[in-house]
Amino acid sequence: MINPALIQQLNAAIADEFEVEEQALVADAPIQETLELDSLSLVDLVAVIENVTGVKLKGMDVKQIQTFGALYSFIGENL
Amino acid sequence: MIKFATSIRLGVVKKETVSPAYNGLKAYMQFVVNKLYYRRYFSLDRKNIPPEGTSFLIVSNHQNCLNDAFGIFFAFPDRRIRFIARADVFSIHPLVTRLLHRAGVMPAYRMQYQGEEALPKNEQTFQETEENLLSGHPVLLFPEAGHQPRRWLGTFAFGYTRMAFAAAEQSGFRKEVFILPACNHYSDYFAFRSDMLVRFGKPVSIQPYYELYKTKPRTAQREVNKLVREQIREMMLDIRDLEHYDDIDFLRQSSFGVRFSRSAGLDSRSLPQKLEADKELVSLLEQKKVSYGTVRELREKLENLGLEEGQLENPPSLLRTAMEALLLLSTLPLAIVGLWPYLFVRLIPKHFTRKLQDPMLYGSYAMVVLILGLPMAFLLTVALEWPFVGAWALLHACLLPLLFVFEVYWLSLGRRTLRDFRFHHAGRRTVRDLKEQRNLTFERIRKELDI
Repeated sequence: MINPALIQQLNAAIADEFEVEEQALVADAPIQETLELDSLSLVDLVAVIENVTGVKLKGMDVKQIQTFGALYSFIGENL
Repeated sequence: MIKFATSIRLGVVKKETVSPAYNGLKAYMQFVVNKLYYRRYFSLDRKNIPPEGTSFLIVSNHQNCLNDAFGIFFAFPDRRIRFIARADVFSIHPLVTRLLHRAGVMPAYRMQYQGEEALPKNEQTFQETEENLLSGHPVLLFPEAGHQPRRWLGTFAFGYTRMAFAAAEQSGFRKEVFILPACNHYSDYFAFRSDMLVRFGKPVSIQPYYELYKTKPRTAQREVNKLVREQIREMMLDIRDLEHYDDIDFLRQSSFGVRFSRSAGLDSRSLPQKLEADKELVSLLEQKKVSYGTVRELREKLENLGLEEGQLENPPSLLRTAMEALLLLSTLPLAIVGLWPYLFVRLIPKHFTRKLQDPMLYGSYAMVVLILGLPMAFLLTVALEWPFVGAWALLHACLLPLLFVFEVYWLSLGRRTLRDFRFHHAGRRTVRDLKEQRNLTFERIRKELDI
């Protein structure tokens, strides 16, 4: 299970990198649509996750994940 | 990192000279594609193409692979344009790779095809594109990052906005960079002698977003993307109701669609006018949330019987069917002669399309086989026939393009005659029932649409 403080830190970093409102990054929000991800920005997302949590994920794995809630769980499993 | 020459950075550009060989090859390809492959080719609103020396990217919807690229390429008669294409075409053969580079094609690596580790290779393409833009050489790309299997617009990847803004940044934001939206549309994706159109929208200047880009690059890109994508969507036929796609497509192609065009004062035989009518019809169908149950039923019944809705609208008489059969039989010897080289142009693409399990690649293969195959067929015809018939071999070889066109129409008439035979075989009662079902369905939809 991922620490709520880490989620907050991660959300702040994602919001800053992707220029979106932090409030939009809720558990059931779809990742692709919220961040308007393409394959290049997916790599940026992976880099943000690694910088904040230290977890190195694969872009293809993150691409399969639908929501932020699922992303946090996935990161939690890999911490 | 590529260092740009000062003249390029400042946007000082010279008119690009195009070699006679390039122009000659382009003219040959244009003849094969626009005169033989297609029946009619339209390039609309070319006045929107920025003048030579302007930095602009051409961005288009993508459904029909190479055909889309050629469609836009031929709309620039006396200019060279560069392309960005999927990277896997560069691994077909070293010779193909060299040819692609010579033709100004640059590879785009995608996560789903080449894997994540290949993505950094895109940097080279990005830099070359930025250099081309600042040199005033237009670059064409398809931001849907893959072709769509239907008439609808997918989401756009942001590679093109990155390159446009990066080019502007290279010039110290002194050069105005544009994005030219373009749209491709086809009367039929898979048939020879169908119609194709390419239309250009108003160029979008990204200059008003330079300041925003400096502080919020992603937001600036999103805003530009929204403008470009919306323009493309407005120009094309975008059927978003994918659940009822086949029913909507059936309606627009049937006599219902023809009548709708007519009532809007548009000629359904002209592809540009038919596109406008179809856009209006599809938008109306999607707005009113029509129920498609009986449309599907009718469509499936017709498919199972091997009939077309047009036959219910204009039933073929027995006399007409007999005359068509007679015409086919009397021209059969010519049709047998015409199988060379038609058969290869038909069968080779079919083989590869089946192998790659992507029907949308059919047009690309057919086009390539036709472009490369015609000169080869010419030489082979002369070489093989000359010992037997002398100079007549040359005449036969010169007539190959005409024979190809004849073969396409002969086979098309053959298919139509077969369908007409099926229509007579189905019997009056079946036809009457189908006609009644069609009339009721179309009438109900007309009421639902309030037209």
